[in-house]
Amino acid sequence: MTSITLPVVKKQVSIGTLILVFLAALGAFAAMFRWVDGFSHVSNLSDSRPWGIWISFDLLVGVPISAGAFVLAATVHIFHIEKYRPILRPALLTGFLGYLMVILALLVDLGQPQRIWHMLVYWNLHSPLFEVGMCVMTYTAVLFLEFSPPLLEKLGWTSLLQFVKKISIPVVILGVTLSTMHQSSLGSLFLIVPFKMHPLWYTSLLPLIFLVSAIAVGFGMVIFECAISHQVFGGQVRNEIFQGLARGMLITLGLLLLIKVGDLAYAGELGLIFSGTFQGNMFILENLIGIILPIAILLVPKFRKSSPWIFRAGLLTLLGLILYRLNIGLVSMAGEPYVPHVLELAVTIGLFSAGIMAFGFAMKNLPLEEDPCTHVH
Amino acid sequence: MQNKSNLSRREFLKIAGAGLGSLALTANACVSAGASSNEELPLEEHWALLYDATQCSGCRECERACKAYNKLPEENVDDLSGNTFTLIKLYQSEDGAQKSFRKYQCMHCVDPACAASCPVGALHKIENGPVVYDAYKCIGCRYCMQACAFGVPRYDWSLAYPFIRKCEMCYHREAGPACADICPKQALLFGRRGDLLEIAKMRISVNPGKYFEDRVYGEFEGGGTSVLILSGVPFEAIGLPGLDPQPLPDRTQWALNIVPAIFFGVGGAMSAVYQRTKNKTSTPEEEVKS
Ligand code: SF4
Ligand code: SF4
Ligand code: SF4
Repeated sequence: MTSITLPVVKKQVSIGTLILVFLAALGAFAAMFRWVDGFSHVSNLSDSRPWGIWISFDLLVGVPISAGAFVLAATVHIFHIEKYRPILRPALLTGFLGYLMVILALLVDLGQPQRIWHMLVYWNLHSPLFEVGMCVMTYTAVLFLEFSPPLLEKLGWTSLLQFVKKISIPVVILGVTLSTMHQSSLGSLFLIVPFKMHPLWYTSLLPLIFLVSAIAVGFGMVIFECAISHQVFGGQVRNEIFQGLARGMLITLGLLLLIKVGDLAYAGELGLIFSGTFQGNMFILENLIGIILPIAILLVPKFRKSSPWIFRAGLLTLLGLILYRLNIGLVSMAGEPYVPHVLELAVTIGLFSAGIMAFGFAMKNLPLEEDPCTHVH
Repeated sequence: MQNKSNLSRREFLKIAGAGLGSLALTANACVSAGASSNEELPLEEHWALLYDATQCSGCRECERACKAYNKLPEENVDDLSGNTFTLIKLYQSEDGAQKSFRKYQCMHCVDPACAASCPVGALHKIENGPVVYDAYKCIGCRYCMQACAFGVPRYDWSLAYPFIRKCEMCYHREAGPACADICPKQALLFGRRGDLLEIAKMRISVNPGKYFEDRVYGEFEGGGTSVLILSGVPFEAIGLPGLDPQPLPDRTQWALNIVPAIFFGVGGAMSAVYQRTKNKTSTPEEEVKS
């Protein structure tokens, strides 16, 4: 398995790739427009809606869907559960690319993108956003370190490779710690707006809910990207890996459901769920799709052993998380009505497409040989 | 979530006797910018404004003075904006029986949410009270706009690289806020927060029943503000949010306080697990524990 760069890519450019290239180009154009012309013609952001889809999707979803990296790194390197090693590198790769996309999106969203590094210099320890920014930047570097071995192998830089391998355990531990911190403090961002946020979503437990939902979707993403990449890149996912991931996801989702319901019950706000308002219905949708359905699927013993069903449960968890985060960022917030501008969406979609292309490129060109989600029986 | 604070009517009784002496201290007197000392000034000494909506005639001299001092272009808006730091609005009840003006501007919170949330500390409260903005630090994340309960920080969305715009209480101006200087009606007073509170409570005690709930908005709301407001109509009716006396930044602070614990706790736990499981060769049957 050393000859990796082989054919597929060159043979023909598939229609899928073309679409991705087109979408990414469109996104780049919209971003240019924002950097040159300003926000007005590219976005529907306003003084009462200072955060739109770029924060609600690119940041609030981009960070947790990259959580597969820290969940798996902990499982393999710290808990020493070796059977997951084959799928670790693709997960680290997705994580790293995910964070790069988050940073790129921030460069579009920030009013002074050229000063993004200010967060490293001017510290405000009272700001959860400072913590998020600091962690995201450091963790991206950590992920790069965690992921660098295949790259260094490919480049043949053995001494550096040795060094990176030597410090790998502290780096992994640092990565898990940083992830716990910023996955949760992403939720802390909203603790300061009780007056703006719908009570179905506002709770002091936001940081905890953010962390647990990120872990759940971490499992979901690994399931998802394994299934996808084995379809695209060939090979067979080992069933026991899939089942283990499903079990991890089931446990985390159960915990999440408990926290969310318990918290609303404690606050005496369960009635709001069935109030029939837009917010109430969105809340139902989010939890039905993202928590209740996948739990229901995975509780059926037959489905729990079937890869296609596990895949479906993973997909639902992912969709549910996206809904949850969009609800937090857009639906729960008071303010003038906001619907993202087409060009705002173009940036988000374009970045996503670029991420997928980068993942495909890396899968084909880097020695992910411990891996890639595949194992021939 | 928004408990209407039921702060006490008895407060004013205590100071009813404080009387006329404090009147002498009113308006634009005697507040030093205090730039020299680094010690934090006690809250009563902070720069503050008292806006008495019942005295305001809606002449909008303050708007013009603000524009002139801050060199802001004229514009026709019905809300604060990147070029309008203060605004007088007229509120009328449906039947037109009750009406009141309200002056919009930064409230200069005692514990400002904008400053707590700004990741780079561009917005911050200076020692003598005003909440000011260091444009050179700002990264444009707009978290301050999200966090401010009064919707004060504004942005010029037509620009590619906008800055936050808001009232800074004219903290560079020798005589204090330009808007208070010009007010012909004693509806807007500038002074020390402690003195202005006394004046406000005096006005309440001298005119029983005139002021809404006989209390001063901003004494405790959201942890208190340096812009104090008296109103003849319900505060909600003139767009003032009902806020807990608990400062908003407190809601985040506990989560930030446990960050070091998370850092060392998770780091330590992970190291421990690593050591314990290191020598076990795990079997594929082992579960994922997380
Ligand atoms: S009113 Fe808003 S902008 Fe002004 S100090 Fe308070 S939180 Fe900051
Ligand atoms: S927009 Fe600027 S002033 Fe406002 S929170 Fe962000 S960095 Fe601070
Ligand atoms: S204090 Fe100064 S900046 Fe603020 S509203 Fe008054 S004049 Fe304008």
